[in-house]
Amino acid sequence: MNREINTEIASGVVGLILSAVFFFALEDISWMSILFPKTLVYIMALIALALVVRGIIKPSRDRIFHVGSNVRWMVTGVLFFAWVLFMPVLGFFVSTVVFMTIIVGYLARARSRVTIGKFMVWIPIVIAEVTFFYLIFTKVLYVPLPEGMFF
Amino acid sequence: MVFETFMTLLDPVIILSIFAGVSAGLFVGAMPGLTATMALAVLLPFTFTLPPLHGLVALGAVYMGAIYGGSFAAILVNTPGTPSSIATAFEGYPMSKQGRALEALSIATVASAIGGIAGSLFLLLLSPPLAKLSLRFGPAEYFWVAILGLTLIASLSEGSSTKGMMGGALGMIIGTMGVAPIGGETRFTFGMPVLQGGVAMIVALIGLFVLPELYTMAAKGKTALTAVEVDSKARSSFWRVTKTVFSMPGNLIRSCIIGEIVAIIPGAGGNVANLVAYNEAKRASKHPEKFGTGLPEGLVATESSNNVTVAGSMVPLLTLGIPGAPPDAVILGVMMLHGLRPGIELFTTSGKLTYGFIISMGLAAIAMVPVGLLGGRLIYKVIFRTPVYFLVPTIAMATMLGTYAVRNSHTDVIIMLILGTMGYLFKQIGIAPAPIVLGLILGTIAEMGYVQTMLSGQASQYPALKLFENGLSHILIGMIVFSAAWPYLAALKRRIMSKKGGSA
Repeated sequence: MNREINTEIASGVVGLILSAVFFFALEDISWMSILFPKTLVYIMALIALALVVRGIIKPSRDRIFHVGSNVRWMVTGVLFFAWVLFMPVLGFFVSTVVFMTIIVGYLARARSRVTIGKFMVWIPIVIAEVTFFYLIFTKVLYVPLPEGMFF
Repeated sequence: MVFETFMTLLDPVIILSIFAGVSAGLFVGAMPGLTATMALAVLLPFTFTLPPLHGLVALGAVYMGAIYGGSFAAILVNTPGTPSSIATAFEGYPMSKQGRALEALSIATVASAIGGIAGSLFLLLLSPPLAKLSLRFGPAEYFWVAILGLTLIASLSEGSSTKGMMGGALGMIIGTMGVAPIGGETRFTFGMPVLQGGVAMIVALIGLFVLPELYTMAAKGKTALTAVEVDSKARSSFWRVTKTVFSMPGNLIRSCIIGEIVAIIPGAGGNVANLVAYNEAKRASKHPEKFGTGLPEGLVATESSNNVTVAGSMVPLLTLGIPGAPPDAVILGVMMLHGLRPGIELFTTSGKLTYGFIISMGLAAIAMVPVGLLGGRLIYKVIFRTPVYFLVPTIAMATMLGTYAVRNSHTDVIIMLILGTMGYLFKQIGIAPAPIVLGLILGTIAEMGYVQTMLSGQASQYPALKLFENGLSHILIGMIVFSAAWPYLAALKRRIMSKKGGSA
C-alpha cells in the first residue's frame, strides 16, 4: 500500500460517501431535532464536492501509508478488536493478559528474534502490569470491570 | 476569594495531586509520539472518583507536565516528545551533542516554569472580564462563536484547510448522533439502540487522539529509543541557569505574549506557539545566524511560549466553552462530567473551584522545577529503557480502561476502537483527528445556538434572520469571514512576494 494518491479526490469521495450514509439515515422527525443535522449533511457534501473538484482541477499526489509496516499496524488493530470482543467472554483480566502478551510478542519480533525464554520474562511483567491496573480500577476507583468465564 | 482559594490548595492531598500529575505528565510527554492530549486521555479515568477540584488540579498538572516533558525527548533524542517542543529540538539537541544536555534541560525547566506561571496569571486576569462579556451572548452569538472556532480550526489544521473543514463537519455530525438537545428525538442511530445515547465526547476523543498514535508506533516497530549520552559531571548550577534565563527579559516577555495570543485562538496551542516564538526570537536576535547551533535564547523562547499555552488556552474554554487547544477538550469533558458549565457561573457559583483550578496550574508550573531537576533524569532513564513493544499494549490497555470507565460500557470501547481506526485512515488522506474532535465539541454549542435562535424567530417571516440581528453577531461574522479568508490571503501574499523576488 506504499503508493501516492490524489488525497483531495480521495477525501472528497470519502466525504460524499459519508454524506450519503448520513443523508439516508435522516428520519422524518420534528424540525427542531432534524434541522441542524440536515444542514450539516448538506454542508459536508458541499465541502466534499469542493475537494473532488479541486482534486480534478489542481491534481496533486501525496504518499499514504508510508510509515513503517502496514501489515504490522493492521495486525495490531485486529488484535485490539479481538481483545475487546473477547473481553465479555474471558473477562477483563484474562483477555488482557492473553492479548497483551500476544501483542508484545508480535511487535517485538519486528526487530529481534522472539524466543520462549523471552516470553518467560514478558509474561510475569504483563501479569504484574495488568494486576496493578485491575486492582486500581476495581478496588480504588470502584469501576466494575467486565467479568467472563473465569472472574 | 483568590486568597481563600489559595489556602484551600495548600491541602497535602492537593499538593500531592499536583506533584503526581506533573510527574505522570512529564513521563508521558517525554515519550516521542505521545502527546499532551494523549497523556490527559490516558490518565483521565484515574480522576473520575476524585472530587471535582482534585480531579481538575491533577489533570491541569498532567497537562503542564506533559508539555514540559516534550522538551526531554527534543533535547536528548532530537525527536519532540510533543508537537509543542518541535523548535526545542533545534537548539536543545545541538547543546546535548556539545555535552551540555543538563544545562539545556535546566534552561528548559526554568523557562517552562516561568511560562506556566505567566499563563496562569493571564488566565486569572483575562477570564473574569471575558466571562462577563459572555453574559451578553445569546443563542445566535454562541452559534457564531462555534462557527468561528471551526473556521480557525480549518485555517490552522495541517495541510489543506478544506480537509480541516471537512473533518470539522464530520465531527459535528458525529456529535448529533443520539438524542437531540432540543426536540428530544433520536438521530443517526442506524437502527442500533446502543447509539441512542450518542457518542460520548470523551470516548470519541480518546479514540481519535490515542489510537492513530498507537497504530503509527506499531507500524514503525522500533524497539527502544536511543538518546545522547548525558555527562552527569557536566552539571549546571540551577542559579546560574536561572540567571541565564532572566538575562533575556525581552525574549521571555515576547515569547509569553506570543504564547498567550496563540493560546486564545481556538484550535491552536503549543504546537503553533513554540514555532512562532522561536522564529520571533531569531528575528529579534543580534546573531540570528547562530540559531540552530545550541543557543539558550531559542530554548527559552520555545519552552516559555509553549507552557504559557497550557493555562492560556483555558481562557476561551472557561469563558465560552470553546477549547483553545486539543488537550482542553479533555478538561472540558471532565468539567461536564462534574456538571460544570463554562461561562460566568464558573466564576461566581463555582468560583472557588474555578479559581482553585487556575491557581493550581501556577503551582504545577512551580512543581515542575523540583520534579524536572530531581526526578527528570530518573524518568528519562526509565523511558529510554522501556521497549516500544511494551508501550503499545500498555497504552492500549489504559485507553480501553479509560473509555470503559466513562459509562461502564463495553460498547463505548468498541466505538472508541472504530473511531480511532477511522481516525488513522482519515489521517492518511489528510483529515487530521483534531478538527473532527473540535467539530464534535463545537457542534453541540452550534446546534443549541442555531435551534434556539430559529425557535425564537418563529414569530417572524424569516426566522434565520434572527442569526444576523445584533451587533455582537456582526462582529463575530466579520471575524469568521476574515479567518476563513486568511489562508487564501496569506497564500496570495506569498505568491506576490515570490513573483517580486523572482523578477528582482
